[in-house]
Amino acid sequence: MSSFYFSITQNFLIAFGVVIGASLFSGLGAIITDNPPFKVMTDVAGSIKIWAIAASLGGTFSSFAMIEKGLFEGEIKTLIKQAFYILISLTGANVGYEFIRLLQRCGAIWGK
Amino acid sequence: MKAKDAKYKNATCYKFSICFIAGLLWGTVIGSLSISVLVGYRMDAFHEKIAYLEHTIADKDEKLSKLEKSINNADVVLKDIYIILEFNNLSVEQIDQIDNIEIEKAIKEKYASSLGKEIKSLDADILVQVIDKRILKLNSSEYQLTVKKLVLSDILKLWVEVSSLEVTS
Repeated sequence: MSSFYFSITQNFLIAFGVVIGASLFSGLGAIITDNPPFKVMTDVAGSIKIWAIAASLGGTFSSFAMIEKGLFEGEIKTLIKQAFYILISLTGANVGYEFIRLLQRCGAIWGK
Repeated sequence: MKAKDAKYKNATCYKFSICFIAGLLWGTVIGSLSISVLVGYRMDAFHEKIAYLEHTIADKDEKLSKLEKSINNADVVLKDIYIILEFNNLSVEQIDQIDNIEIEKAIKEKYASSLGKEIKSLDADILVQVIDKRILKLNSSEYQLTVKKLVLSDILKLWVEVSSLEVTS
């Protein structure tokens, strides 16, 4: 498997895991502190998305450095690669968010 | 040989205890997460209900306090007049029901202008004087009215003694 595929898989799953993990544990925290768990979970999932992308890219600075290199030194391939990584991370974070929303919807269906 | 066996036993015991602790911790984490996901919706629903009820209570409290204020500030006005007639020297059979109604009607007419007025502005003595010792002529009979008792609140209650007068002409 090439490093590119490895990277995109890692980026997707890290972003996904950050959102899911943070949301699930924040839900547990909400139960302990007597707050509505699903509301807290969706709020956290929504607000943590951008940090999940940053975490999956391994810190934003290297990505910015690559983008700068691509823009000013004419390495278009690196630029496209970085853009693709960001896009994949974004997708992973959003899938994680939708996963939490799906849990909420399931609860609404079964709770009725 | 025995030392080797003891060492093996210790290693196995260590392995099991580590696995047990890891399993316990992971089980706790997974279990609590599962429970939080399973009961989450119900807890959310309860929180929503609590918020709704709190809002309703706050709304009702506000309404109640405003109503209480308006009750305290509003001047009490005369809303109704009750007349209780006590017929003097007349038996129950002798009391003409139509006259009874007519007397009541006549008395109420006298006090009609007082209705809707503030109670503070009404004088109980003057109210008594309006009908006290007054002679009412109804068709073929005359009645003298005497105010026995008066209660003045938002409802004016009058206990009136009615004495039948003999018509001379």
